[in-house]
Amino acid sequence: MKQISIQGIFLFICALFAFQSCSKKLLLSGTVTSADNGQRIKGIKVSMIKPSLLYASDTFYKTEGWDHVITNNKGEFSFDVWYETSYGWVFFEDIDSMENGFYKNKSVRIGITSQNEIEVNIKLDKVK
Amino acid sequence: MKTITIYNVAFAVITLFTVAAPATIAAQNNTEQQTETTAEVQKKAISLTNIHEVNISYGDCFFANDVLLPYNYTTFGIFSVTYQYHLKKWLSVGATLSYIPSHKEHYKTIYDNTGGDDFLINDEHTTLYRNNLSFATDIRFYFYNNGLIRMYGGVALGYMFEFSKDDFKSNIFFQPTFFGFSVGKKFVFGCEVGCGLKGIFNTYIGYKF
Repeated sequence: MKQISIQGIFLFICALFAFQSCSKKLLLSGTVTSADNGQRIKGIKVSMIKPSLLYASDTFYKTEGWDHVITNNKGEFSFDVWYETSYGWVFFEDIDSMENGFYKNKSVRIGITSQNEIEVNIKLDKVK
Repeated sequence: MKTITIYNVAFAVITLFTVAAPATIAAQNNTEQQTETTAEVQKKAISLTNIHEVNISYGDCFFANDVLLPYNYTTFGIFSVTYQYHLKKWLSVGATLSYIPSHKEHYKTIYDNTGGDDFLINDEHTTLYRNNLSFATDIRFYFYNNGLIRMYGGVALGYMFEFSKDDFKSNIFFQPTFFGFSVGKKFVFGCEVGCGLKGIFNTYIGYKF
């Protein structure tokens, strides 16, 4: 019984140490604006795509299941992303189609080194 | 809600111990002394000398870095001042004031194509500071105490306040001390294994009077 208690305490301490070796988290934030008039666009789906998921996916633009958020009324977005790699892709998709204008999808490759936060301010072109 | 209620009740009980118990014990001692023999009184006098104890302690940073502090904030240790009032050979109550200084290196990269077709990339670096102050009442149970060497376990319950440039938070917290060891009659050296505002491993020096 005594031995089990000591083992339990030891395992608990080891588990706390193991916490530090997990993948890191960064805050991805920014704004989406229209290239035509500079107005902020709401309802844009912003996805963070990691290379591991990119290779695993058979369709490049299929972003279901990836970390994502929808821009708010001010065209702003903000969400936490867990990563283990040195780069990733941020995809911007207009999922509400014609509601507030229809915009072309766009992506930006971001390098991830030791940042705690990455801000992406992007303008999207309207579909003519 | 239920958890907070239990914590509040426990907090009140420990506070009651800290404030009311010394007076109760003193009154109890008066009545007991009338029936005790001289030898017993002398023995008790020896055991009840140095009933006050003040400790200054340093706790490791692992628990604070991984659990207590917000993500990416790090500290190099936890500093505490503890007062203990020894009610019995097997029991003491007291209060602890802890301080955790912490900081975070904030690296931010900004990608911006709103001013043109190409993305402009800017890197920003700032250092953010955060201070964590906590006050707790605690209780220790000594399962071995020969006056020179003591071994004990205990619990502490209190409030933690977090200050930063643009944020303030307060939380109730609970800290168990699984095992504590101290040696010394007047000058005390000790260490503890626990989990909470004093870290996992905690070492201290103190004075009994």
